[in-house]
Amino acid sequence: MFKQMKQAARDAGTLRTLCESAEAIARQEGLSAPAAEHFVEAALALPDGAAKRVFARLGLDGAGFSAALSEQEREALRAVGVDGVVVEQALGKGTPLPLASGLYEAAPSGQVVVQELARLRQRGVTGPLDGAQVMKVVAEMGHGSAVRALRAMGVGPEAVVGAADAEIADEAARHR
Amino acid sequence: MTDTPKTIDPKNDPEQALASVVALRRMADQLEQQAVTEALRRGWSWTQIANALGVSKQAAHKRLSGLMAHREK
Repeated sequence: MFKQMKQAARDAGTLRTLCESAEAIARQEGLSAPAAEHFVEAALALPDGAAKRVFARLGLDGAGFSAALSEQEREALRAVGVDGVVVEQALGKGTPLPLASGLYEAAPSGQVVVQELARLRQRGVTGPLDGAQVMKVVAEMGHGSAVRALRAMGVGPEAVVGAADAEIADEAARHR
Repeated sequence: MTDTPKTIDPKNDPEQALASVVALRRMADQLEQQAVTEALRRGWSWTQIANALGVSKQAAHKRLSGLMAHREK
């Protein structure tokens, strides 16, 4: 019982760190609310290192995710004939916004991530909330900017879910 | 912009079309933020900005007033 309470408190702290970090990343890009891709970037910055290990299991460096995000956006614009200087000037160069005050607000895809992470125990997860769980939740969404960036890095969402599951299982074994 | 814009067919490739919609929307948002920031710097009122954007003053202020707060810091 005490162990469960301790785990719940730790998870709440991790979720709070993720939300604050994702919001800071989004607002630095001039976006008002964090989306799923910002939670991946926030997960990569977590001290647990689990998201980085998920990337490593796929033979990738998590540090390349941000560049992949820009590349998929560049490609999506190129597909409709928007190219060149105007795109390079706009990519990731929104006016940074100050941190929001009041109730926490995420973009719709970010809301899905937060909701799924908040109900981890209902999903049957027993290990700690860490970056691998974030990677799994985002990959399970199957579509969106984060998944397109992962595809641009050469991996499909199914492979990411598999790598995240392997990391989660190893982490659970370490906590037994 | 390129001289010869490509075309995409949403019926054949909705994934690609939706990705382009997201990217265009984000690019438009960034362009809007930059233009509004500059307009505010030049002393435009929210009524003038709203008229230029074709939205209500309330809508413009609600969506973009964070830029002014940031600029005043």
